[in-house]
Amino acid sequence: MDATQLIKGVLDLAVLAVLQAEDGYGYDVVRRLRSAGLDEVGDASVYGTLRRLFSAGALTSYVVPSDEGPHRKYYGLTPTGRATLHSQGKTWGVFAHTMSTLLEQAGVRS
Amino acid sequence: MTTIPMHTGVQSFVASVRAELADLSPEDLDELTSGLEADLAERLEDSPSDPSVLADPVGYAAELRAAAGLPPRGGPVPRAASGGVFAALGSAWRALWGRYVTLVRTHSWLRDAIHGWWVLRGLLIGVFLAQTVFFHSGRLGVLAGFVVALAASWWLARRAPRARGLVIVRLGAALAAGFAALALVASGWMSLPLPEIWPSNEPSSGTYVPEPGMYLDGAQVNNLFVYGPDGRRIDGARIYTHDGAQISLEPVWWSAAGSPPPRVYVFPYGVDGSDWELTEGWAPPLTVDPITPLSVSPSPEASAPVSPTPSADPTASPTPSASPSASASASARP
Repeated sequence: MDATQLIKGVLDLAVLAVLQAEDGYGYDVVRRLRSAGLDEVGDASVYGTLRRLFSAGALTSYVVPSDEGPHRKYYGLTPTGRATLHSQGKTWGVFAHTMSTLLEQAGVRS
Repeated sequence: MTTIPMHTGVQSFVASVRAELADLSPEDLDELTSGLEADLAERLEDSPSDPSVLADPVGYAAELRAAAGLPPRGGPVPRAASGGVFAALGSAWRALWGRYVTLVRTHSWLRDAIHGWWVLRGLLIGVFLAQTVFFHSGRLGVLAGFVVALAASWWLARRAPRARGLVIVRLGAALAAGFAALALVASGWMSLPLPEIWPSNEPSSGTYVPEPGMYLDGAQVNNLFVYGPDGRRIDGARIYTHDGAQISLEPVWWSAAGSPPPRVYVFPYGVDGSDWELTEGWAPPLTVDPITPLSVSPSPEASAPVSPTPSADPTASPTPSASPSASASASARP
C-alpha cells in the first residue's frame, strides 16, 4: 500500500502532534514531519492542512518579522487543537492496536 | 538559517500556483500562499538538486486546495475572474466576509455581540411574524411566533455558519428583521397592531359583560308565548324571574337610558295593540294540546316565591288540605 494514502488519513493528527512540542511555520512543520519519518508527506499537503486546521480553530497563527528575509507565519495549538490531538490520538491508538492484532493473527509482522 | 535568496524560479512557480488558485477568495488565496515563497526557498536550500520541487505548479496548487478542504477548480465556488457585476459583487462580498471572520476570530467580545444580534434578530422577526402571520392567532400565537423566530435565528446562526447555501435564508431573515425594526421605529411599540393591544369591545379589565336582552342558544328571544294547562294561549301574561324581577325582552340599555317610566310587560308582545311584531317565522296557535294528566293547583299566595314540591309518590292523590300554606304542590295522577 502506498504510504501517501495512509498519511492523508492521519496528517491532521501528525501536524497537531508536531506543533504540540513547539510552534512552527509551514516548512518547519514539513521538515519536522520528515525527520520524524514521514518522508512521503507533500509540502503542499502540509500547508493546506495547516490552513484548514487554522480555519477549524485548532490552530492559532502569528507573524514573526524577520530582518533578513520575508516574515514568517507561525502556527501553534489552540485549546481546541490540543483537545483534538488528545481525542484523535486516542482513536488512532485504538485503531493501530486493532490493526496490529489483526495482522499478528494473520501472521504478518510489522 | 541566514538570508533567503528570492529564487526567480520560486517567484514564477508561486505566480503559477496563485493563478491556479485565482478562483478562491482573496483571503483564502493569501492564507494559502502568503508564506509560500519563503517556504519554497528554504526547501530549495535543503535540497537544491531536487528537480521535483518546482516542477508542477498545477499539481502543487491542486494538492494545496485538497488538503485545505477547498473545492477543486471549476467547483461550485463562483470565479471572481469571470467578470461581470455579479462576479465583482460576489468577490467583494467574500472579501468582506473574510475580513469579518478574521475580526471575529481575533476579537472574542465580538462573538458575544454576535450572539446578542442573533437574539435581537429573532425578536425582530417575532415582531414581523406577529404583524403578519400570527396577526389573528391571539397571544399564544404571538408567543409561539416569538419562540419559533428565536429558535430559528439561533439555529440559522449555529447550523453551518459558513454554509453558502443559507445565504438567501440569512438575507431574508435580515430583511424581515430590518422591516420589523423599521415598523417599530416608525410606529412606536405601543401602536403596533399586536393582537393583545388590538382594540376590542371587551373592557380592559377582561370581565365578561353579557349582551343586553334574552338569548336562547345564542339567538335573541324576541317574544314569549305562555300556554295554560288547558292548552289555551294566555295573552297578557306577566313572567317573573327567580328574584321577582319582571321579564322584559327589551334590551337593558334601552330602559337604562334616562329614567324609564315603570312599565308592565305583558306577553306575548304585540297583543296589547303595540306595533311589536307578534312573531317571526312561527305562527303561534291560540291553543296547544292540553296537559290532561296533570292538574296544577295554584297557590293562594301567588306573590310568594315559587317552590314546587312534587310528591314523591306518583300514585298519591292531591291533598290540598295537607299543606295549604305551601306555595305550590303538584302531583301526577296515573
